[in-house]
Amino acid sequence: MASTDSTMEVDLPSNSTQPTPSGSKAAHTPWVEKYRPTTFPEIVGNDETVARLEVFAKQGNVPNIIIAGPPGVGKTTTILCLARAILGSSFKEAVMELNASNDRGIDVVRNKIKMFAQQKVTLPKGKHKIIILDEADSMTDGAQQALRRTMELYSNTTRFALACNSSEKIIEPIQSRCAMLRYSKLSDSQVLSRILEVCSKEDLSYTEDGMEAIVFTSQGDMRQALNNLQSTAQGFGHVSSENVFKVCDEPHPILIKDMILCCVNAKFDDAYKILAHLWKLGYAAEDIISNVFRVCKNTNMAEFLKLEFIKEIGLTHLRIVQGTSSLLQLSGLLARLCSKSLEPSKIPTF
Amino acid sequence: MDIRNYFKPINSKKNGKTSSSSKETKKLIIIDSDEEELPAVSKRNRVLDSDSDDDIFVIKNKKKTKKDEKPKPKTLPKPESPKLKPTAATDFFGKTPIARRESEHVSSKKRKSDDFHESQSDDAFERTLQQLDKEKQQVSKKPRIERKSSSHNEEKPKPNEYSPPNKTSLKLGLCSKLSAKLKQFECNTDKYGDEETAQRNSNREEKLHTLENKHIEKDVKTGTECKEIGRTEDKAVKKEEKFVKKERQIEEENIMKPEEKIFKKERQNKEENLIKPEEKTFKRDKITPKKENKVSPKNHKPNIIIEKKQKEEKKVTPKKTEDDRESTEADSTPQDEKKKHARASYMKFLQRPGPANPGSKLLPEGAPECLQGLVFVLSGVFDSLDREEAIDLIKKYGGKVTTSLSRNTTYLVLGSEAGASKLKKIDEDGLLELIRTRPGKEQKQEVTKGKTTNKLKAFAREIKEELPGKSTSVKDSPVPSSNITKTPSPKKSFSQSQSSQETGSPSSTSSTPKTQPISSQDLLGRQHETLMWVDKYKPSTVKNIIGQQGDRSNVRKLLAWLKNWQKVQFSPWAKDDNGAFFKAALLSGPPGVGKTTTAHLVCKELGFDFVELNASDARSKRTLDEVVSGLLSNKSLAGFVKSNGIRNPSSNHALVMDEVDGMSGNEDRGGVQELIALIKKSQVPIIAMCNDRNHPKIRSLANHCFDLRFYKPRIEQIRGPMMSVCFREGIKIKPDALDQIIVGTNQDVRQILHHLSMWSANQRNLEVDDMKREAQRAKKNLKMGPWDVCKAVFSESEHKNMSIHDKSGLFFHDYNIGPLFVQENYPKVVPHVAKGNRNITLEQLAKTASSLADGDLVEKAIRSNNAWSLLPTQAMFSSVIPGEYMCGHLASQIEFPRWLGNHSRRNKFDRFMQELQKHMRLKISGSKLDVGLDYCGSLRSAITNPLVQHGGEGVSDAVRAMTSYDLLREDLDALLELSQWPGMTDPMSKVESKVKAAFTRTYNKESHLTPFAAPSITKKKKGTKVGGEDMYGDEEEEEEDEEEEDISSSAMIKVNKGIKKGGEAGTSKGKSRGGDNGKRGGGKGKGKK
Repeated sequence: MASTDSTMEVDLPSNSTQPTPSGSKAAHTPWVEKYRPTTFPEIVGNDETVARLEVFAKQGNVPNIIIAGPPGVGKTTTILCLARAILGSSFKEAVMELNASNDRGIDVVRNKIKMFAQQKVTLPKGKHKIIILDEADSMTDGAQQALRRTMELYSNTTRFALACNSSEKIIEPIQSRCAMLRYSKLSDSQVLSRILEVCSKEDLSYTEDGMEAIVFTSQGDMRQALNNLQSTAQGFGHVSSENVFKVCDEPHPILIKDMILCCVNAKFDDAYKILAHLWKLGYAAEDIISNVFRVCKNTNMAEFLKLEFIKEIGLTHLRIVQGTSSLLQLSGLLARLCSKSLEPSKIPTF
Repeated sequence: MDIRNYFKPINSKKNGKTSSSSKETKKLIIIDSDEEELPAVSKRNRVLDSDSDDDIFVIKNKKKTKKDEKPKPKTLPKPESPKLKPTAATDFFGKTPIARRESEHVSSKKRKSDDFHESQSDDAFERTLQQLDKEKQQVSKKPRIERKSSSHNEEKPKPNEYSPPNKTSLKLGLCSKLSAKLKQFECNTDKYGDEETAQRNSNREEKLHTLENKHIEKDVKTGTECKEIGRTEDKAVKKEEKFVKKERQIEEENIMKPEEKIFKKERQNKEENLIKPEEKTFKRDKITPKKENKVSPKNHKPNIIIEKKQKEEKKVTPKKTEDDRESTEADSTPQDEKKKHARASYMKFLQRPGPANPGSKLLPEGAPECLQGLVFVLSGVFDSLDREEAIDLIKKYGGKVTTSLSRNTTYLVLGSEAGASKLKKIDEDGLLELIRTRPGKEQKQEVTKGKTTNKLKAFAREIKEELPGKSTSVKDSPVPSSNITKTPSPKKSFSQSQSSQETGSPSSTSSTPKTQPISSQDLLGRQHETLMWVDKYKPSTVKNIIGQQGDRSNVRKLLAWLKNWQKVQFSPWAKDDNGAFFKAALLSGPPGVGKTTTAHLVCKELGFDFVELNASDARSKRTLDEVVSGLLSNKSLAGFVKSNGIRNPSSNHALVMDEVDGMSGNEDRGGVQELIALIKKSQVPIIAMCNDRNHPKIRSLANHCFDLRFYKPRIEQIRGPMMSVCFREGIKIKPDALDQIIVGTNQDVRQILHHLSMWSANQRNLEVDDMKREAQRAKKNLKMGPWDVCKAVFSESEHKNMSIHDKSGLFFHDYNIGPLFVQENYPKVVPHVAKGNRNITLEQLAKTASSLADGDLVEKAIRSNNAWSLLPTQAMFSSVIPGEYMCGHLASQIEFPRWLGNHSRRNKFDRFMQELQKHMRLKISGSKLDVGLDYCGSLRSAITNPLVQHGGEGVSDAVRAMTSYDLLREDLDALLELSQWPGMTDPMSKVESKVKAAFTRTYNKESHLTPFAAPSITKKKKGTKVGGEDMYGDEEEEEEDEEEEDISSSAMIKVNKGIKKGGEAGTSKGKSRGGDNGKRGGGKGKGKK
């Protein structure tokens, strides 16, 4: 977990704008950067939107856009591709990229951004300067307010491209000034195809279930998938599900799901076996409980039962957080869950 | 069928309608019932007799009835119909009107045109006229229809019908048969002339005389007007010819009556204030009565009586017409149930079955867009199609489906069990046939049909028809030529907002202001490739701003305000709605409705130079002061440079402060206050803009501004201009798809343009489904306020399409206050699980409460241990689970959590107790809590009881009680508040204010030795604040301080300085001012209390 985290942190600010993903040179760059798409056709997923942007890339005059979506689906990549496609060689002068690592307070918007918008850059007709505001949802309200009119006043020379995770944190006036593009999570097959591509390029040995594990752990996040792949590849040289889960160290959701299902069927023994196994693997009680909580939310079961389960899990979580992080608590939880599902009609309110 | 059948529904309907149709419902109803049962003649007589004035009239009426009845047996074969006839007030007239008509008809025609101008205001009157006409006509016609049942032998009855008015038709030599018919109606009206005059009189008695005079004059003028008449007559003839066609068509359908058509036409024309040929016929109608007006007063003195009668008569007529119409409708639709009450049909509606034979018919393949421009209304249950299917089918071929009939309705598709009155209908098979046969995008001009619709609709409006079923007929007016200049015919639907016009009429639809389509704007100067659509299609004049065309629109208001700014500024008390009082205007509203555009265009329109400051400029107090005030006193040189001397270089300026709600952060501190100050002293108009009108910052500003609120334009308002844009950009989009986009953006015009430009990038043909999906995805994600969150947490309807993640997402909108809202409002929810059972409700409440309690525990853990990983757990306990248990609806308004208020009050009381305990520490042994619980009550009674019981004499006791516990005057207030429990009466309220004042004075006069220093410091502060006459202030302090000997060191230092100063001034002065001081203190005390 820790290792993947650190690589993820690195890649964001260091968006190498140089479109040179040649194999040998980038031996030490994270794969996320190495295989970052530089042209539209390479972008995986959200085909429709990408196709539209491609048209704009050809004809220019793209409206202000906001791309919103979960992490790792290619928002920043898309915007960079767009900027590159539109501006080509003048990319350097005509693009200003600001992300959360830059200071984007109200004064920066008023000075730096405005100045850039006012700047004259000689561009072919129909092309505009582009200001990329990555992670725009982390901008303060004041800064966003200050951006409003700038977006309009200089629209004949400058266009804005915003990327954010949650669009509700963008104030409505800004949303109104932009075309909103929503990216959705990548499907497993999309992630898989890309990973296979990378594997073949990197000459990796892999197994079927190893790929599956990577896709599973990525949860539709391409960056996560690539990071996990790289970690596994560098750590073990071989991508198998075992290795993947060793790298991405968290209690396996499938195990936990099994455990919960056992509880639903009131099979305490089976459930406890799984729990004991997890415990033996050395997971912390808090890791286990938080995963149980998450998995339980997604598990398919009767609605009222789910609520009762969640209640119990929540209370146990509370106790664990308060310090009693013992196996006893967890087994107690299992027992209570089983009893809940045994007599669902008589639910005691505690 | 028995004619009586027709009357049943009528009666029921009358009640509903009378209120709208006439002022004096009572009379109406009575008369109606009379009509059915009593012979009209006798009734009339009765009325007349009661009026006691004129015998002549009675006689005349009788004569008339005789006359009328003679021809009727021919026309009306059934015995019942004569009954109807008499009720129609025919009995009213003697021969005289007819004779008059003969002599004056020509002149009357002449007058038409003149009258038209004069009498435009007479709509009401005209309407009644029409109704009268119609009534008459229908009476005569109904029997015809009945008898016929197969409509071909129209000719036969005609001669009979027309026999009375033959004279008139002779006079209009040019007219065809139908014109004769028309005239016949006139004749009828002529017959009713007396009535009409009376109505008119009753309607506008004041006007009457002048009008009459005019008429006389006009008669004199007739010669000069001859030419005009000739022209108008020609037109009239043409019209009437059309009419013939129309009428036949319609009569084939057994639905409509020519009279109705006429009226409708006339009516519509009137509405549009246009002179149309049809109106002439109408005018004729109008005129004849006027003539009679003229004549009748001369002939018969008892005009007033007639008026009365006529009033009644008039009231009868509207109903009549409806009745008649209904009956005909009943004719057209054979089922009996259609005649039943609205209630009955509603019951039916509720139990409506699905399609009887779903899928039994083969759906035709029509030419693409073959239904383009047609508007359908579906009614009833169809044989094979589901209603949704039918709608889809129509939409697929470019048709439009509306839920209710309007003037634009083209077809009514009728199933079984449809509502009652339908005019032009097609059934399901007809619809399929239509699709099959109708050519593609070709433009059809069904002129006659179009007219009928219009007329019908007008008529419907006129009598305020509220029948469940509605009138429809075929209409396909050609694209209004004047309005949509560059719109091609296929885009007809987009012209929907424009009132449909009849062909050939020189109309310009000036009655309602319309959005001038963007296409007609001057877009030449804009470089198309480099501009975003938003800029490209930015309104260039005020008229083009969407949703701001009305006379009362914000744009007009702003325009007027700005225009009059200089003038009115100095008459400050005009605090009315034109805002002249204010020196600034505040435009507020959601984004994308055109606030900034409005401000700019208005300035442009009035030739103001404006300086714009927006959120991207720093607008702190200082910068505002420097920059703006400097700018505003300048004169613009733009005039010198730009225009070639046309514009006055020293023209006006305006200051546009955009996004005033964006004044935030450190840089803009004090900006709003400065803006307000600026407004107060400004020499130029200031236009401020903001989104959130209720923001506290803005609220203070709003008091100084002319408040103009912008609202989201309606979908229809946006649709037209957007269609125009699409056309110009070559995008094919169905209005339906466009609607999806509009709704998806929350009626934000700007974003609609952005979206259109984005989605049309790779495909020019936008499909409904795609757009629906896209709009759904692009839906603005707005931050929900805690109120909305709370509502969403509990409401069952929202739960339906929410996963558990969405539900817990609600919690995260604002996890600080969200749980409080849930906790405050959960008892107000009516859980649907309980179904009203109190026990279950209680059970659910208990579960919810326990879950909330758990949530509190979790929150405690989160806040105290920083265990933020528990936050999802809290979301479950505090929001999701309560929402699940209490899933239902909120029975009352969502309240703001009282916890916050209570919490701060608790803190305040805690502070009070602390203070009191500190002050009394030397005298009591209790802790803070003891003070609150034990000492408070008794202390209070020790102080207040003497005051309450002994009044002025008790003051010294009270003061002694306070001094003995080292309490200050402020402590007493705290004590009183602290010991005040809900439901208790405040003991101080029983104390007279005089006593209170005396008490305060005495307390202040006496010096108190307190073992603590706090009060002197606070006093000191006050003293220095008073400060300008420092000697006084110091000396006052000095006096007190001299007496208070144990004072803390910090206070002492200051005091000592004072002493030194005061010492020089001399103590005698200080002492003499002792009384002064006391008085002041008394004043203070009073003020506080």
